[in-house]
Amino acid sequence: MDISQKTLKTIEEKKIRPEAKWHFLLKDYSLWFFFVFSVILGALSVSAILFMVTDHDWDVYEYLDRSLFEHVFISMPYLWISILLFLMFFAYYDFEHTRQGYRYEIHKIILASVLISIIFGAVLFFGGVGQGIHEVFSRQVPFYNNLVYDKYDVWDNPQKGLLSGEITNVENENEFLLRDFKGNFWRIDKEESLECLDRCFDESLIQTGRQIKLIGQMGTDSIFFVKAIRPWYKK
Amino acid sequence: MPENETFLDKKDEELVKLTLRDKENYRYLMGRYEEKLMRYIIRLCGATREDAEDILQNVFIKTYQNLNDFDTSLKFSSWIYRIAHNETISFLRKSSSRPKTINSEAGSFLLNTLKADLNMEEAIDEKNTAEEINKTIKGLDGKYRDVLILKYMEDKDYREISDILKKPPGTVATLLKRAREQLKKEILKHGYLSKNVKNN
Repeated sequence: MDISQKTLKTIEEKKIRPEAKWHFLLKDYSLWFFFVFSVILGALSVSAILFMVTDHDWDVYEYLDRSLFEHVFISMPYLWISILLFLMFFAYYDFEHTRQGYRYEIHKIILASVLISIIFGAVLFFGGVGQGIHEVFSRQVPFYNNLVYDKYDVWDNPQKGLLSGEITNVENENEFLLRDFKGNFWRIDKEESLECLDRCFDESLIQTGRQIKLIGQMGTDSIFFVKAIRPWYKK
Repeated sequence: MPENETFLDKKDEELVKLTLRDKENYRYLMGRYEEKLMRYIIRLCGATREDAEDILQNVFIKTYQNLNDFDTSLKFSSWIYRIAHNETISFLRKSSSRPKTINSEAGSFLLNTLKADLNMEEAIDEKNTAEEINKTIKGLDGKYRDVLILKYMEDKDYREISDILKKPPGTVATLLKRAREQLKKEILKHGYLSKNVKNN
Protein backbone atom coordinates (compact mmCIF):
# COMPACT_ATOMS: atom_id res chain seq x y z
CA MET A 1 0.00 0.00 0.00
CA ASP A 2 1.51 3.37 -0.98
CA ILE A 3 1.44 6.49 1.19
CA SER A 4 -1.52 8.03 -0.63
CA GLN A 5 -3.61 4.94 -0.03
CA LYS A 6 -2.49 4.72 3.60
CA THR A 7 -3.36 8.37 4.11
CA LEU A 8 -6.83 7.99 2.61
CA LYS A 9 -7.38 4.92 4.79
CA THR A 10 -6.35 6.89 7.91
CA ILE A 11 -8.61 9.79 6.90
CA GLU A 12 -11.45 7.33 6.49
CA GLU A 13 -10.82 5.43 9.73
CA LYS A 14 -10.28 8.50 11.91
CA LYS A 15 -13.11 10.36 10.21
CA ILE A 16 -10.84 13.33 9.53
CA ARG A 17 -12.57 16.26 7.85
CA PRO A 18 -11.20 19.52 6.44
CA GLU A 19 -11.70 22.29 8.99
CA ALA A 20 -14.50 24.67 8.10
CA LYS A 21 -13.49 27.72 6.10
CA TRP A 22 -15.02 30.09 8.64
CA HIS A 23 -12.52 28.91 11.29
CA PHE A 24 -9.67 30.19 9.17
CA LEU A 25 -11.52 33.34 8.16
CA LEU A 26 -12.31 34.06 11.80
CA LYS A 27 -8.65 33.70 12.72
CA ASP A 28 -7.55 35.97 9.87
CA TYR A 29 -10.18 38.62 10.53
CA SER A 30 -9.37 38.55 14.24
CA LEU A 31 -5.72 39.26 13.45
CA TRP A 32 -6.71 42.18 11.22
CA PHE A 33 -9.12 43.46 13.84
CA PHE A 34 -6.45 43.40 16.56
CA PHE A 35 -3.95 45.00 14.20
CA VAL A 36 -6.31 47.91 13.48
CA PHE A 37 -7.26 48.07 17.16
CA SER A 38 -3.58 48.30 18.18
CA VAL A 39 -2.92 51.04 15.65
CA ILE A 40 -5.95 53.02 16.90
CA LEU A 41 -4.86 52.63 20.53
CA GLY A 42 -1.37 53.59 19.39
CA ALA A 43 -2.81 56.76 17.85
CA LEU A 44 -4.57 57.55 21.14
CA SER A 45 -1.26 57.05 22.97
CA VAL A 46 0.49 59.37 20.51
CA SER A 47 -2.17 62.04 21.10
CA ALA A 48 -1.64 61.71 24.88
CA ILE A 49 2.15 61.93 24.42
CA LEU A 50 1.80 65.03 22.23
CA PHE A 51 -0.51 66.62 24.77
CA MET A 52 1.83 65.92 27.68
CA VAL A 53 4.87 67.18 25.79
CA THR A 54 3.23 70.37 24.51
CA ASP A 55 1.39 71.13 27.74
CA HIS A 56 4.53 70.72 29.80
CA ASP A 57 6.31 73.71 31.31
CA TRP A 58 9.82 72.94 30.22
CA ASP A 59 11.13 76.25 31.58
CA VAL A 60 10.32 75.87 35.29
CA TYR A 61 13.23 73.57 36.11
CA GLU A 62 15.14 76.39 37.86
CA TYR A 63 12.36 76.82 40.41
CA LEU A 64 12.52 73.11 41.19
CA ASP A 65 16.30 73.12 41.78
CA ARG A 66 16.88 70.87 38.78
CA SER A 67 19.04 71.06 35.71
CA LEU A 68 17.25 71.20 32.35
CA PHE A 69 18.49 67.65 31.61
CA GLU A 70 17.09 66.34 34.91
CA HIS A 71 13.82 68.12 34.28
CA VAL A 72 13.47 66.66 30.78
CA PHE A 73 14.47 63.20 32.03
CA ILE A 74 11.93 63.27 34.87
CA SER A 75 9.15 64.75 32.78
CA MET A 76 9.08 62.41 29.76
CA PRO A 77 5.74 60.56 29.38
CA TYR A 78 7.30 57.12 29.88
CA LEU A 79 4.00 55.42 30.61
CA TRP A 80 2.50 56.43 27.27
CA ILE A 81 5.73 55.75 25.41
CA SER A 82 5.81 52.24 26.93
CA ILE A 83 2.16 51.67 26.00
CA LEU A 84 2.89 52.85 22.45
CA LEU A 85 5.89 50.51 22.12
CA PHE A 86 3.84 47.58 23.42
CA LEU A 87 1.03 48.36 20.97
CA MET A 88 3.49 48.64 18.09
CA PHE A 89 4.87 45.22 18.94
CA PHE A 90 1.32 43.85 19.20
CA ALA A 91 0.40 45.41 15.84
CA TYR A 92 3.52 43.90 14.27
CA TYR A 93 2.71 40.47 15.73
CA ASP A 94 -0.85 40.60 14.40
CA PHE A 95 0.12 41.78 10.95
CA GLU A 96 2.97 39.29 10.64
CA HIS A 97 0.56 36.45 11.41
CA THR A 98 -2.01 37.42 8.79
CA ARG A 99 -1.99 35.25 5.67
CA GLN A 100 0.55 37.27 3.75
CA GLY A 101 2.09 39.30 6.56
CA TYR A 102 5.33 37.33 6.37
CA ARG A 103 6.05 38.83 2.96
CA TYR A 104 6.85 42.20 4.51
CA GLU A 105 10.08 43.11 6.31
CA ILE A 106 9.75 43.67 10.05
CA HIS A 107 11.02 47.27 9.90
CA LYS A 108 8.51 48.15 7.16
CA ILE A 109 5.59 46.81 9.20
CA ILE A 110 6.69 48.63 12.35
CA LEU A 111 7.47 51.83 10.47
CA ALA A 112 4.07 51.76 8.74
CA SER A 113 2.15 51.18 11.97
CA VAL A 114 4.16 53.91 13.78
CA LEU A 115 3.55 56.36 10.94
CA ILE A 116 -0.19 55.61 10.87
CA SER A 117 -0.35 56.04 14.65
CA ILE A 118 1.60 59.30 14.52
CA ILE A 119 -0.58 60.78 11.75
CA PHE A 120 -3.86 59.76 13.40
CA GLY A 121 -2.43 60.63 16.82
CA ALA A 122 -1.61 64.14 15.63
CA VAL A 123 -5.12 64.57 14.24
CA LEU A 124 -6.62 63.38 17.54
CA PHE A 125 -4.26 65.63 19.50
CA PHE A 126 -5.39 68.72 17.58
CA GLY A 127 -8.96 67.64 18.23
CA GLY A 128 -8.25 67.73 21.98
CA VAL A 129 -8.41 63.94 22.43
CA GLY A 130 -4.96 63.74 24.04
CA GLN A 131 -5.99 66.16 26.77
CA GLY A 132 -9.26 64.31 27.27
CA ILE A 133 -7.49 60.98 27.69
CA HIS A 134 -5.04 62.45 30.17
CA GLU A 135 -7.81 64.05 32.23
CA VAL A 136 -9.97 60.93 32.27
CA PHE A 137 -7.03 58.77 33.27
CA SER A 138 -6.02 61.28 35.95
CA ARG A 139 -9.46 61.07 37.52
CA GLN A 140 -10.42 57.46 36.91
CA VAL A 141 -7.32 55.31 36.79
CA PRO A 142 -5.73 54.50 40.14
CA PHE A 143 -1.98 55.25 40.35
CA TYR A 144 -2.01 56.94 36.94
CA ASN A 145 -0.84 60.21 38.47
CA ASN A 146 2.03 58.38 40.15
CA LEU A 147 3.18 57.01 36.82
CA VAL A 148 3.19 60.24 34.81
CA TYR A 149 4.73 63.63 35.37
CA ASP A 150 2.57 65.10 38.14
CA LYS A 151 1.70 68.61 37.13
CA TYR A 152 -0.30 69.16 40.32
CA ASP A 153 2.71 68.28 42.41
CA VAL A 154 5.08 70.55 40.49
CA TRP A 155 2.69 73.52 40.71
CA ASP A 156 2.04 73.02 44.40
CA ASN A 157 5.35 74.51 45.45
CA PRO A 158 4.62 78.02 46.78
CA GLN A 159 7.90 78.07 48.72
CA LYS A 160 9.73 77.63 45.43
CA GLY A 161 7.54 80.16 43.64
CA LEU A 162 5.10 77.84 41.87
CA LEU A 163 1.41 77.86 42.69
CA SER A 164 -1.76 76.76 40.93
CA GLY A 165 -5.49 76.61 41.52
CA GLU A 166 -8.82 78.17 40.65
CA ILE A 167 -9.66 81.86 40.89
CA THR A 168 -12.51 82.31 43.34
CA ASN A 169 -12.86 86.07 43.48
CA VAL A 170 -11.42 88.96 41.47
CA GLU A 171 -11.03 92.22 43.37
CA ASN A 172 -9.26 94.13 40.63
CA GLU A 173 -6.76 93.43 37.89
CA ASN A 174 -3.91 93.34 40.39
CA GLU A 175 -5.57 91.38 43.22
CA PHE A 176 -7.61 88.20 43.34
CA LEU A 177 -8.31 85.16 45.50
CA LEU A 178 -7.20 81.68 44.54
CA ARG A 179 -8.07 78.28 45.93
CA ASP A 180 -5.20 75.87 45.29
CA PHE A 181 -5.90 72.24 44.34
CA LYS A 182 -5.55 71.19 47.98
CA GLY A 183 -8.28 73.62 49.02
CA ASN A 184 -6.12 76.34 50.64
CA PHE A 185 -7.01 79.96 49.91
CA TRP A 186 -4.42 82.47 48.71
CA ARG A 187 -4.52 86.19 48.21
CA ILE A 188 -2.71 86.93 44.96
CA ASP A 189 -1.05 90.31 44.47
CA LYS A 190 0.62 91.48 41.32
CA GLU A 191 3.96 92.72 42.55
CA GLU A 192 5.25 95.42 40.27
CA SER A 193 8.71 95.31 41.74
CA LEU A 194 9.15 91.69 40.70
CA GLU A 195 10.80 91.21 37.37
CA CYS A 196 8.26 90.28 34.77
CA LEU A 197 9.09 89.05 31.30
CA ASP A 198 7.22 90.29 28.26
CA ARG A 199 3.55 89.36 28.18
CA CYS A 200 4.00 87.05 31.16
CA PHE A 201 1.11 88.62 32.94
CA ASP A 202 -1.93 88.02 30.80
CA GLU A 203 -4.72 89.92 32.59
CA SER A 204 -7.39 88.28 30.46
CA LEU A 205 -6.75 85.08 32.42
CA ILE A 206 -7.94 86.69 35.64
CA GLN A 207 -11.54 85.52 35.68
CA THR A 208 -13.51 83.84 38.43
CA GLY A 209 -13.61 80.07 37.98
CA ARG A 210 -10.52 79.98 35.80
CA GLN A 211 -7.75 77.45 36.57
CA ILE A 212 -4.29 78.99 36.39
CA LYS A 213 -0.61 78.48 37.17
CA LEU A 214 1.39 81.20 38.88
CA ILE A 215 5.07 81.94 39.14
CA GLY A 216 6.08 84.37 41.90
CA GLN A 217 7.08 84.58 45.49
CA MET A 218 5.33 83.45 48.62
CA GLY A 219 4.71 86.15 51.21
CA THR A 220 3.40 85.83 54.73
CA ASP A 221 -0.25 85.12 55.70
CA SER A 222 -1.15 83.21 52.54
CA ILE A 223 -0.19 86.00 50.21
CA PHE A 224 1.48 85.19 46.93
CA PHE A 225 3.19 87.88 44.87
CA VAL A 226 2.80 86.93 41.26
CA LYS A 227 5.09 87.80 38.39
CA ALA A 228 3.78 85.42 35.74
CA ILE A 229 0.40 83.91 35.15
CA ARG A 230 -0.39 81.01 32.82
CA PRO A 231 -3.53 79.02 31.99
CA TRP A 232 -3.66 75.57 33.63
CA TYR A 233 -3.82 74.03 30.19
CA LYS A 234 -1.85 75.74 27.46
CA LYS A 235 -4.46 75.07 24.75
CA MET B 1 -10.67 9.22 -21.74
CA PRO B 2 -9.97 7.28 -18.51
CA GLU B 3 -10.92 9.06 -15.29
CA ASN B 4 -7.29 9.19 -14.15
CA GLU B 5 -6.18 11.17 -17.16
CA THR B 6 -8.89 13.78 -16.71
CA PHE B 7 -7.57 14.45 -13.25
CA LEU B 8 -3.95 14.43 -14.34
CA ASP B 9 -4.65 17.43 -16.58
CA LYS B 10 -6.13 19.47 -13.79
CA LYS B 11 -4.30 22.19 -11.93
CA ASP B 12 -3.52 21.73 -8.24
CA GLU B 13 -6.00 24.44 -7.31
CA GLU B 14 -8.77 22.62 -9.20
CA LEU B 15 -7.88 19.37 -7.47
CA VAL B 16 -8.15 21.15 -4.11
CA LYS B 17 -11.71 22.17 -4.95
CA LEU B 18 -12.53 18.66 -6.15
CA THR B 19 -11.02 17.15 -2.99
CA LEU B 20 -13.21 19.38 -0.86
CA ARG B 21 -16.18 17.90 -2.69
CA ASP B 22 -14.99 14.30 -2.53
CA LYS B 23 -12.04 13.14 -0.47
CA GLU B 24 -11.31 10.31 -2.94
CA ASN B 25 -9.96 12.98 -5.31
CA TYR B 26 -7.24 13.72 -2.81
CA ARG B 27 -5.30 10.71 -4.11
CA TYR B 28 -4.46 12.67 -7.30
CA LEU B 29 -2.98 15.56 -5.36
CA MET B 30 -1.04 13.22 -3.11
CA GLY B 31 0.18 11.22 -6.08
CA ARG B 32 1.51 14.40 -7.62
CA TYR B 33 3.59 15.32 -4.58
CA GLU B 34 4.43 11.99 -2.99
CA GLU B 35 7.88 11.51 -4.51
CA LYS B 36 8.86 15.18 -4.51
CA LEU B 37 8.00 15.65 -0.86
CA MET B 38 9.58 12.36 0.15
CA ARG B 39 12.85 13.52 -1.45
CA TYR B 40 12.54 16.94 0.17
CA ILE B 41 11.93 15.51 3.65
CA ILE B 42 14.90 13.16 3.36
CA ARG B 43 17.12 15.98 2.07
CA LEU B 44 16.02 18.26 4.87
CA CYS B 45 16.52 15.91 7.80
CA GLY B 46 18.24 12.83 6.47
CA ALA B 47 15.53 10.65 7.97
CA THR B 48 15.25 6.96 7.16
CA ARG B 49 12.71 6.07 4.47
CA GLU B 50 10.42 4.73 7.19
CA ASP B 51 10.54 7.95 9.24
CA ALA B 52 10.16 10.03 6.08
CA GLU B 53 7.02 8.06 5.18
CA ASP B 54 5.53 8.80 8.62
CA ILE B 55 6.36 12.48 8.25
CA LEU B 56 4.87 12.54 4.76
CA GLN B 57 1.68 10.89 5.91
CA ASN B 58 1.33 13.55 8.61
CA VAL B 59 1.95 16.19 5.95
CA PHE B 60 -0.84 14.82 3.78
CA ILE B 61 -3.25 14.58 6.71
CA LYS B 62 -2.48 18.14 7.85
CA THR B 63 -2.81 19.40 4.31
CA TYR B 64 -6.20 17.71 4.02
CA GLN B 65 -7.41 19.10 7.35
CA ASN B 66 -6.36 22.61 6.31
CA LEU B 67 -7.51 22.56 2.69
CA ASN B 68 -9.95 25.38 3.38
CA ASP B 69 -7.06 27.52 4.56
CA PHE B 70 -5.23 27.25 1.22
CA ASP B 71 -4.49 30.77 0.05
CA THR B 72 -4.93 30.87 -3.72
CA SER B 73 -2.57 33.83 -3.99
CA LEU B 74 0.29 31.39 -3.61
CA LYS B 75 1.12 28.17 -5.41
CA PHE B 76 -0.31 24.99 -3.94
CA SER B 77 3.17 23.48 -4.20
CA SER B 78 4.58 26.28 -1.99
CA TRP B 79 1.85 25.68 0.53
CA ILE B 80 2.32 21.92 0.74
CA TYR B 81 6.11 22.34 0.87
CA ARG B 82 5.60 24.72 3.78
CA ILE B 83 3.58 22.10 5.63
CA ALA B 84 6.22 19.49 4.81
CA HIS B 85 8.97 21.81 6.04
CA ASN B 86 7.17 22.50 9.32
CA GLU B 87 6.40 18.82 9.88
CA THR B 88 10.01 17.86 9.24
CA ILE B 89 11.33 20.52 11.63
CA SER B 90 8.78 19.36 14.18
CA PHE B 91 10.00 15.76 13.70
CA LEU B 92 13.60 16.89 14.24
CA ARG B 93 12.60 18.71 17.42
CA LYS B 94 10.68 15.75 18.79
CA SER B 95 13.46 13.33 18.06
CA SER B 96 15.91 16.04 19.27
CA SER B 97 18.37 15.02 16.59
CA ARG B 98 20.40 17.12 14.27
CA PRO B 99 19.80 16.55 10.58
CA LYS B 100 21.87 13.70 9.27
CA THR B 101 23.97 14.18 6.19
CA ILE B 102 22.09 14.32 2.96
CA ASN B 103 22.83 11.36 0.71
CA SER B 104 25.77 11.49 -1.66
CA GLU B 105 23.59 11.61 -4.77
CA ALA B 106 21.93 14.74 -3.39
CA GLY B 107 25.29 16.16 -2.39
CA SER B 108 26.63 15.67 -5.89
CA PHE B 109 23.52 17.29 -7.39
CA LEU B 110 23.83 20.24 -5.05
CA LEU B 111 27.50 20.58 -5.83
CA ASN B 112 26.89 20.74 -9.56
CA THR B 113 24.14 23.30 -9.33
CA LEU B 114 26.07 25.38 -6.84
CA LYS B 115 29.40 25.54 -8.62
CA ALA B 116 28.56 28.39 -10.94
CA ASP B 117 27.00 30.42 -8.16
CA LEU B 118 30.05 29.92 -5.97
CA ASN B 119 32.34 31.07 -8.80
CA MET B 120 34.31 27.85 -8.36
CA GLU B 121 33.46 26.24 -11.66
CA GLU B 122 36.78 24.49 -12.13
CA ALA B 123 38.11 24.60 -8.66
CA ILE B 124 36.23 21.93 -6.76
CA ASP B 125 37.75 18.50 -6.81
CA GLU B 126 34.75 16.38 -7.67
CA LYS B 127 36.22 12.98 -6.94
CA ASN B 128 35.54 12.92 -3.24
CA THR B 129 33.91 16.27 -2.70
CA ALA B 130 30.21 15.32 -2.83
CA GLU B 131 30.56 13.37 0.38
CA GLU B 132 32.48 16.19 2.03
CA ILE B 133 29.93 18.75 0.86
CA ASN B 134 27.28 16.70 2.62
CA LYS B 135 29.16 17.05 5.88
CA THR B 136 29.69 20.75 5.30
CA ILE B 137 26.00 21.36 4.65
CA LYS B 138 25.11 19.37 7.73
CA GLY B 139 27.31 21.72 9.73
CA LEU B 140 25.63 24.86 8.37
CA ASP B 141 23.07 26.77 10.38
CA GLY B 142 19.54 25.39 9.77
CA LYS B 143 18.32 28.59 8.11
CA TYR B 144 21.14 28.41 5.56
CA ARG B 145 20.61 24.70 4.95
CA ASP B 146 16.90 25.27 4.33
CA VAL B 147 17.41 27.89 1.62
CA LEU B 148 20.22 25.98 -0.09
CA ILE B 149 18.11 22.83 -0.32
CA LEU B 150 15.07 24.70 -1.62
CA LYS B 151 17.04 26.71 -4.14
CA TYR B 152 19.50 24.16 -5.47
CA MET B 153 17.78 20.83 -4.89
CA GLU B 154 14.10 21.66 -5.14
CA ASP B 155 14.68 24.33 -7.78
CA LYS B 156 12.40 26.86 -6.09
CA ASP B 157 12.57 30.57 -6.91
CA TYR B 158 12.84 33.35 -4.32
CA ARG B 159 9.10 33.92 -4.16
CA GLU B 160 8.39 30.24 -3.61
CA ILE B 161 11.10 29.96 -0.94
CA SER B 162 9.61 33.04 0.71
CA ASP B 163 6.17 31.39 0.75
CA ILE B 164 7.51 28.06 1.98
CA LEU B 165 9.64 29.45 4.81
CA LYS B 166 7.27 32.36 5.53
CA LYS B 167 10.05 34.90 5.30
CA PRO B 168 10.13 38.13 3.25
CA PRO B 169 11.72 37.70 -0.21
CA GLY B 170 14.46 40.17 0.77
CA THR B 171 15.37 38.05 3.76
CA VAL B 172 15.45 34.94 1.57
CA ALA B 173 17.87 36.66 -0.81
CA THR B 174 20.10 37.67 2.10
CA LEU B 175 20.00 34.19 3.62
CA LEU B 176 20.86 32.64 0.30
CA LYS B 177 23.78 34.99 -0.25
CA ARG B 178 25.13 34.29 3.24
CA ALA B 179 24.55 30.56 2.84
CA ARG B 180 26.59 30.53 -0.38
CA GLU B 181 29.34 32.59 1.23
CA GLN B 182 29.47 30.33 4.25
CA LEU B 183 29.50 27.21 2.12
CA LYS B 184 32.28 28.61 -0.04
CA LYS B 185 34.26 29.52 3.07
CA GLU B 186 33.86 26.02 4.46
CA ILE B 187 34.85 24.46 1.15
CA LEU B 188 38.01 26.58 1.06
CA LYS B 189 38.70 25.95 4.75
CA HIS B 190 38.49 22.20 4.42
CA GLY B 191 40.50 22.19 1.23
CA TYR B 192 38.03 20.47 -1.06
CA LEU B 193 39.86 21.96 -4.01
CA SER B 194 41.97 20.67 -6.84
CA LYS B 195 45.65 20.88 -5.94
CA ASN B 196 46.54 23.19 -8.83
CA VAL B 197 43.90 25.70 -7.76
CA LYS B 198 44.94 25.57 -4.14
CA ASN B 199 48.48 26.42 -5.14
CA ASN B 200 47.40 29.48 -7.14
